[in-house]
Amino acid sequence: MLELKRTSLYEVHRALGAKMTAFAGFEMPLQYSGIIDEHMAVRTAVGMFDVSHMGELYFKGDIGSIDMLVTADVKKLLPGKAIYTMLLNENAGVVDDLILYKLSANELLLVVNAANTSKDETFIRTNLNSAEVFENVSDKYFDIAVQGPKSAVMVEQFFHVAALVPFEFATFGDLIVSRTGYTGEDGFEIYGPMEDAPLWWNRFMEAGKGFGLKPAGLGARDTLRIEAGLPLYGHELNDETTPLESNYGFVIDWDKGSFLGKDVLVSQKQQGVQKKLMGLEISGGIAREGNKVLADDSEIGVVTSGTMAPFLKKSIAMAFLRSDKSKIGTEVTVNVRGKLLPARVVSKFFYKREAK
Amino acid sequence: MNIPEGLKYSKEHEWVKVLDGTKVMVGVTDFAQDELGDIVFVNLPTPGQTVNTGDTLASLESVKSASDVYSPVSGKVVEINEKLKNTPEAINDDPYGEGWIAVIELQDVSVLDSLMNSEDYKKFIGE
Repeated sequence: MLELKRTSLYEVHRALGAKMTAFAGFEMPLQYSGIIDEHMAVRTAVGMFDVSHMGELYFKGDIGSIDMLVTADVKKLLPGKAIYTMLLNENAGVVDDLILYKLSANELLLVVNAANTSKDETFIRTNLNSAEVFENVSDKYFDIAVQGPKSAVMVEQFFHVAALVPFEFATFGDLIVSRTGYTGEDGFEIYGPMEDAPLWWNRFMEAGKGFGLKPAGLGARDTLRIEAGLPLYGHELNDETTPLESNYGFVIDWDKGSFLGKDVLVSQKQQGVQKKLMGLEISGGIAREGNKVLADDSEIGVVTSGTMAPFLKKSIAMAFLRSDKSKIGTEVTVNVRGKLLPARVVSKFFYKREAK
Repeated sequence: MNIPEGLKYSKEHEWVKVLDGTKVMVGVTDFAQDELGDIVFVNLPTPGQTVNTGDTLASLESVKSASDVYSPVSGKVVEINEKLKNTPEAINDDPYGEGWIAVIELQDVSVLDSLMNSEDYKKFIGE
């Protein structure tokens, strides 16, 4: 068995009493005080996550060669802005989803899923026309996510972030601070030299005391992202499924020039998709990945993620459904461990934070 | 880890409390609830149902996963903890009290001899 990697915060997590788990080759905190408690802290106050396992790829060169591989218009993106986008293969299957930071006119930082880092690196390298520099810098960066309605006032004590709009970032010394996250809540991600992570973590913990800050693990990260309808690679996204099928079409910039997989997307958009990722609200139990969805006694889909949503207090799931049975309001059943539970098709964006 | 004396324990991390001659109360241990994390849904057995040792008695859904509770004894389910339907978290908060799962009328009381006492269970979980 491969030895699990650890972030520079490993000892800090242990000292906080975290339960650890293996994730994407890393030994990461699953939970500290409990998934529900941490989830609620993020929805109502502020929570802090070590997500230093995330992969970072640094690119310097002709932006056009990365622009060819993603759904967003990277040429148009201004330095200081970031964007959530997807890397597609020639069949428009999703190689990965990522946040792309435009560091300067010819420099990018791609923040990718830990489990996909080397796959992405190889995929991009193979398809690059030119690059002055293309480097996997994952081990050099920590990533601490501070998320929740109180995150802005808390982070403001260290960095002037009040002026940052979502998906905007600024550099402070050797740190990058962006208004991004994976919780459906306002929040920030702070990137910096891996060895400095404990220093910043402890400063944030101290400053967070007055705001009800709680350290949060991968368990709450998962329930928060499901509640907000955000995809997790390997569940809602994969190499064989297009962003139109997974119903995240908003990542596609149809106005940009050509990019890998675009022709497939264009024809899929004209002809329609066979399956669609939707939300389900379930009664009488909790659906899990792999559970079959049925309508009129025939199989029409499969669950990709499911949980009891701690904030909404509902049993929710995301599922790929046959397009003709994917309309909001459709009554279906889910086979949960042999029990047929009634469910209703809903938007997968179960939770939406109130606009300020 | 809380492991009260006077209860019997199974290797599947259930506890058994003898109520009177033939009736026992069953639940999961503090160790089990801690391993499971926040319990958010409980599938209870049906009163009157007959169970054999090792049968699925109930299933507990935590935020992350579903886990079966295997019956530590054979007998008939005579009572279930209806309160768990609305307050599944009682299993986390009070696993040996408010978080009890069912009362079972034993088919054969000698089954209790095959279970561990608190000392043995403590060793079993490596405390």
